[in-house]
Amino acid sequence: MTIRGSQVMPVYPLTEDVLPGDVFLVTTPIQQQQQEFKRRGFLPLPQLVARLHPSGVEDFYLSSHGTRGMTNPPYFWRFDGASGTNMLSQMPRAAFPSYQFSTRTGAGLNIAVPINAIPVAINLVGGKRVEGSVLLSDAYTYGFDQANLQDILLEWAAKNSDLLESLAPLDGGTNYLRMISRVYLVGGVSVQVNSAGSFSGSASGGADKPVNLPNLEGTNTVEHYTSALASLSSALSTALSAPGGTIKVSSASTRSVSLNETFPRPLVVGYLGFDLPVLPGGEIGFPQDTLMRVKGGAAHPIQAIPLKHSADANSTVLRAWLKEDAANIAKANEWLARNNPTANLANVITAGEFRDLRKQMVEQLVKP
Amino acid sequence: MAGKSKTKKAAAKAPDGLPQPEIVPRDKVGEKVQDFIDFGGAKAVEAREQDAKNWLVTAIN
Repeated sequence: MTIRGSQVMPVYPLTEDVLPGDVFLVTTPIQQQQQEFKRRGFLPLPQLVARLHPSGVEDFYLSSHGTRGMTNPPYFWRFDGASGTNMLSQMPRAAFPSYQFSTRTGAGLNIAVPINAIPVAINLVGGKRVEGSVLLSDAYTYGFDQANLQDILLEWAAKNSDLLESLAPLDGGTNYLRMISRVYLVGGVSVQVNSAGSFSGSASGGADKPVNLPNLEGTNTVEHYTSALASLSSALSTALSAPGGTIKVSSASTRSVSLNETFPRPLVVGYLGFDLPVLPGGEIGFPQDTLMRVKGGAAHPIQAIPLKHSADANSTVLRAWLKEDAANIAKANEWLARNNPTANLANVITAGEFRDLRKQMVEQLVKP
Repeated sequence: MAGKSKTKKAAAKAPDGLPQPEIVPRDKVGEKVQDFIDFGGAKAVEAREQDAKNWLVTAIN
């Protein structure tokens, strides 16, 4: 089961404290990152470098979804401040397909989503081999466009070049700033697990806490069945006293159990984002889509250092001269091939790094 | 060669004959895009046609 099948990068662990505008430092080399992503189904977000707050949520959603006059997503959705109740129902909705999984007792369960209900359900059915499905319910999403986020990230980068320089790789690798552009939240999960092996008749939830599993073999009446489910839910809620969510048994038989786990508030289960390489010296490179990159579909980062725009009087003179006659462009490129073969004419016109070269070109070609 | 020392940082040239990206004030983006198309060479025009998302200009206030 992988959420990335829905083109979403899974978050581990589930949290409500991941927002669009969060910038994480990713240090894993891309080859290793792809292997880790394939193996685990998610990528950890270890180091939060900055939390940038994109403005304009009202414009982005055209004042719909309860954003009129609001500036602080997602907090105004969670609590409106006036009544103390949340406005989550106004947040844009999302829906996920169900995910299938199977595992054997004692084997690791590689589902990439830390949902309590799954191991609990597996223990309840108690088979040596289990198959199941997970449905992420009550899902919401919100985000911002990459152009907006990229702008504020570059502005932040310009002010924090010292920090970025310290984050630049020293060993020839590439570090990335991963900016979250959209998050997906879920309010609950429904888990159904079927035992493909024999029924054991015992269960435990969490860290070896005993749970009395009622004898479901004898629940041949609605009253007994409902009572058994209530007992199971009660036993689970007692055994799983840890914070994070509540688990209720929605149906159970000797070979299958269905659990509904609800969270007090929706938690972020996945995100979309893009990566910007931190180049040697602390410069920021081209953005790349995170999902594309870890799937191996994105190109290798363009290791070209962005130049700083710094037009001057020679820029105007040079541009006008080049536009006068196509032959002038050929002359300029020939001159560059002799004097600085690594420079591109389009960069020479305005880049601050080429100010002196631009002056020489104007003096020697335009105003000889 | 004063120009060479100034352009040392730009030695990491973009691949395939592309110009290097430039971080450009927002009001100069149109002009710079036109520069890349007019003077950046065939690869720049090709890149522009193929993938506008990863174009060479990044706007900044």
